[in-house]
Amino acid sequence: MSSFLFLVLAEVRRELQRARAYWLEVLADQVLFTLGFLLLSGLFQLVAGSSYAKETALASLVGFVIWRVADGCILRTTRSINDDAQAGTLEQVWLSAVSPHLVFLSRSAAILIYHSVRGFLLAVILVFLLGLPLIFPVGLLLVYILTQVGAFGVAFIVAGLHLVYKNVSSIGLTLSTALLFLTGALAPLDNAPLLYHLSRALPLTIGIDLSRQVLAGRLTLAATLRQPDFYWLLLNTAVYALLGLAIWEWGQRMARRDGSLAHY
Amino acid sequence: MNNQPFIQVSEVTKRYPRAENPAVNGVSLSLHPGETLALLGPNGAGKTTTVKMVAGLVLPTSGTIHVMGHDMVLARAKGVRHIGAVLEGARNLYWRLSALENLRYFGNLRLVPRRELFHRIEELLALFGLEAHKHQEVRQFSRGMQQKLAIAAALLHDPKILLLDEPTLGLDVQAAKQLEATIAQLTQEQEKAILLTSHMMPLAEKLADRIFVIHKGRKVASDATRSLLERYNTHQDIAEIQVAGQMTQVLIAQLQQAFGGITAIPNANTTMLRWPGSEQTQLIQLLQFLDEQDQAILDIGRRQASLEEVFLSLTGMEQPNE
Repeated sequence: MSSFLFLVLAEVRRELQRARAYWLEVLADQVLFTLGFLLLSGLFQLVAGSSYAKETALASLVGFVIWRVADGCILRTTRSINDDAQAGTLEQVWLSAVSPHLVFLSRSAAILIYHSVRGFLLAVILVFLLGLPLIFPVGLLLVYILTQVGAFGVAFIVAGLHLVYKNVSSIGLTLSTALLFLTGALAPLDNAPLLYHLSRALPLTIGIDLSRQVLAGRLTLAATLRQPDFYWLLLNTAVYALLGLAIWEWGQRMARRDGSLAHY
Repeated sequence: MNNQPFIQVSEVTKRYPRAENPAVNGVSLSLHPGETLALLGPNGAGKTTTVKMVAGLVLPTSGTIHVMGHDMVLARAKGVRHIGAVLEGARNLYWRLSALENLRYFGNLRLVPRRELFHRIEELLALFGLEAHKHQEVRQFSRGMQQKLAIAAALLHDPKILLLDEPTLGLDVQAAKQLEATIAQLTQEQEKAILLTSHMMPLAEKLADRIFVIHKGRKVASDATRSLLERYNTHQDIAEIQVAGQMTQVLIAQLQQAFGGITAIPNANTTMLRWPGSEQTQLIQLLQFLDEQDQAILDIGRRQASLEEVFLSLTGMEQPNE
């Protein structure tokens, strides 16, 4: 465990150093998503008129921020594999003192911390700009982490495929974009029952739904744990996380068999 | 020298999926403490595959590899702790991070304790002469500096074994010489066991205790450097002299009569004289002869034949037409 924390710190430091090197990209990204949400929110208000209450805006914001963090994590994880392969540092990870799986898990944790901070800043700015209530029940944090772990399952699936097939970043991009629309991240899918039920098999849907319930009902941690959706979320996250790790393990074994670990 | 090898490769074969021939075919080698072994071969000979199998980055199809007694397929994690590696030139660092940030990160990856890492980084930066550049981003480094930093990063956890894949590839002469000196220092002062690959014979000559020649995945020769190079130098050392202007056929005939084995290659405004196997005294006689004939000498060089030529010499194969 101490090795894991040690590695997480190292990865967080590297992530921040990387952000410093590419500060303009980070800034532009942050501005783009802030403006993007404001624009969408404006459109919803225009269509819904007075029925677009602050609660609805808050529900959209929660979904949007959870999706945005997951999107950042999925894209950054797959991009980091490609970048490392190009820089020749990927093989150095396999030469580390601990298993490469542990290195990549710690890297995932670091990416999650980094993107969560950015997501939190995005949320605070939007809450301020839209005049929404700033509330954060403790249960929300647990739901948030579980939801993002499921998203990392997707990231590991794409990363595992990348080790074997190379240059599959477009799959990551397609998946994360699809998740924005198919999980009801922007607006709940209550009006489309079939899509709603299908979307619950996807990684973010249940987490976003449950987060909205926690926020709307101001649920305590104990009350959150009693929600039926919490157990569905646990199951959903476990399935995606295990699938991600299995495909990652398969990918790295195939890459070592083919001698293509450093290829890109 | 200790009898227990740090690296023991036994009858290893690597056949990549869909490849017609094996990349490595039944290779066995060992590396002992304090020893430097040069794995030599042309492109595609199987050098990099062999090194990567030793590092556990490529799985062998058959055979066994042990590093410090650990099987690199079954217990890779235990063996890899003793290895530092610089693979494929300078592509082992994060270019947008500074030298210090890179060393700190890779030290963390190798779980070097914080205090020890601080001292180790200072020590290695001093060893490689990079202290003044530690806050500079790696992308601003020259190729030679990048390569030194990559080796420094590989040494952070003080490994017993260092794997260097083409360490001087792409370096200018001065940088290559500096790096050679540093590698020599590592074997002499720190007693690292080094497995290096190269297609540069002079590098192997300077650094390696033993040479292992590999061609088309198979061992062609394996011997102590001195005995292998003696064989090679006797037959393959080539003197090259560039003379101004085109030589007359008469003069070329005289030259060939007086100095057996010499060839003259006319170019636009010069003539290149090539003399394999010539000794120092013979070369001086040739220069005197050219001087007497009023031939202006533009350049004199002595080169060793390419590794391809060494292979041909060692295997008795015929040289392909150029």
